Amino acid sequence: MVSVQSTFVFATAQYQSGDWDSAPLVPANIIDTIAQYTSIPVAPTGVIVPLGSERLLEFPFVFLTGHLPVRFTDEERRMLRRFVERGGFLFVDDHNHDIDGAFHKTAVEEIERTVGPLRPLPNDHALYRAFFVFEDGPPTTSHELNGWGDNLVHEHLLAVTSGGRISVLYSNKDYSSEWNFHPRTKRMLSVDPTRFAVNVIVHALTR
Amino acid sequence: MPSPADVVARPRVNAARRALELALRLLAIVALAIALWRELVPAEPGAVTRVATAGDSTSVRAVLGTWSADPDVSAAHLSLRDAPDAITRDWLRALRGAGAQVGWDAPLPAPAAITAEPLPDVLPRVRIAATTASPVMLADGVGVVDSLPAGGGAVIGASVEGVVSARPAADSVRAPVMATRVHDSLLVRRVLVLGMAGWEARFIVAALEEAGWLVDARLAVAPDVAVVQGSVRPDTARHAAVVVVDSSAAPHATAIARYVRMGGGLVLLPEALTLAPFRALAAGARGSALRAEPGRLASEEPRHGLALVPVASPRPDARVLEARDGAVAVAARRVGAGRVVQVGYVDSWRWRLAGRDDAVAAHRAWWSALVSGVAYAPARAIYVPDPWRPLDDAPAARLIAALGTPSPAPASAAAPAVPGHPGVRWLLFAIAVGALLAEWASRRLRGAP
Repeated sequence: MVSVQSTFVFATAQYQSGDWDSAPLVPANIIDTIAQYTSIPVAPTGVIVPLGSERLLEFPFVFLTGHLPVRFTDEERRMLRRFVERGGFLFVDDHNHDIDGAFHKTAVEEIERTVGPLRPLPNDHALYRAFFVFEDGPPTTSHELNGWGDNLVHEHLLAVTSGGRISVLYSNKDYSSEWNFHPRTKRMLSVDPTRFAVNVIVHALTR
Repeated sequence: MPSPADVVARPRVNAARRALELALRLLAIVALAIALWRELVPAEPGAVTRVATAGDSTSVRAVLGTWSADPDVSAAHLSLRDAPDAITRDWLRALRGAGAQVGWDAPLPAPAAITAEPLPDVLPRVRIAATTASPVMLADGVGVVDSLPAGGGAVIGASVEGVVSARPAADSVRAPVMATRVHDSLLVRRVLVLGMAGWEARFIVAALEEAGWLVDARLAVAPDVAVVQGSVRPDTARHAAVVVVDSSAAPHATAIARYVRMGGGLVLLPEALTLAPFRALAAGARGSALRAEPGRLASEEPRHGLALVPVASPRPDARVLEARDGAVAVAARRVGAGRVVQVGYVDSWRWRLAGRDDAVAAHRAWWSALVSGVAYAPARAIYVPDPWRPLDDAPAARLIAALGTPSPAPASAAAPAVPGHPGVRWLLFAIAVGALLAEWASRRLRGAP
């Protein structure tokens, strides 16, 4: 009997400003992680989906990253609003570890303008127990200092929630740098840094 | 001293007065005898017939009041404008039970009936079905709640308790033509969703929760790892229905089959039919997948934009609920005390995400209705207002059941028959009393005892 079950597709948002493709190895790495730890059917390759196109509505999980200042176009704002209102999950990671937090300041402004206010996500949120257990909340990375230009390690992720569900998950942890390596490199690491990505995707698929 | 003429004339006068007194006495006796005869001898059937034309129930009752007080009425015929209400109908039936022949005719409205039942849904919703020839307005004790098209039915998304009545939409001042009693009396429990972690299961849970259902779920993530919400053991004491998304529900298949036979509801998606226990419950077999029709998600028929695994070879006891281009998309059947619905659509979440502006609400309502259609919802006792109030849920049918089919008005009885007039009894009484008084006065005036 042929299965008609759909697979999880890792989609990366392409937006017109900034550098949306700053972490090109992340999709393959996360796909590898999902296949390795879970039995969730996952597409072997990710897709790139323009933020301002109707195609955005084909992928309920979308990853967005970058270093540079972000300014969405009107069409990108309209589509992002529709995406979130209909139940999509946008995972935004600040790839920035340079000065002044340019991505952070502009991306937060755009998200709050388009979708709603970002609030700190409690570290005992179900996200941190969705698959692996992260007792202290979001795992830190070796890159996150000064991600916002304030020389602090931030203890919380931020989120826009709607009806008790996360619509937008915002990270300043620079997971884009932490996960931007070839999947085969994982075997050299004592602790797989991409494990938290499993939690994010499992949470998006189940809550 | 009386004159000789007086002596000769007085006996003649007295004889005449005695004859008159005798005549008056006989007249009184005859009048009393006639009255007695009229009381003791029943009137011949059809001898006294009443015919009336009455528009509404109030005027019908006025006519019935007159007829009921007249024992001479042996036949009655009403020309009605509408079917009378329940009280008037019972009155006519009682008149017939008392021996009168009761006939009726009316330009009878098209057969009309109304019924209402609560839906096993999380929101207080009432399904109202009515057969009417013209649109009607529905009202409860508070006011107008909805309208029905001619010959239509409706689901009212509100708590309606008490009496729901229908009146012609074109005539707002007219009395209700039919009414029924409705109340929310179902105990609606949780829904259990079983499947792999994936968009379909996730958006089914979201849609049901947004619709107000409390949802338990087990979404498998890896072998022996699942995201669990609530209790995942199917139980009619906790769950109204179970939604099986795919084969990850295999460990629960036997329990689910038992749950359904005990009355539980089950929604099966195409991937669930890869398991034999669910194939045994399903409405039909799993057909060959049909592709989604490009560009249809945002159309008026959004489910044409979904891939479809049709319900093939539906069982004889299955009922097709939805079809697409000749293929059965949704079908249901009863299994034991429970109900099973088999859904052929694949990835319905695509409709929610890429559909028209109302797609989220439509997707939510569709899923809620699917679950509602099979949900196990035992009745619970509640307060019923005015339980003694007779209601007319099918006025024309009940009129015919009570009085038989309509008949033409009797032409010969167009006017009331004189012998049947109730004043005759009083006239006879007055004659008898008057005659006796006159006879007594005559005797006393002439000095007789």
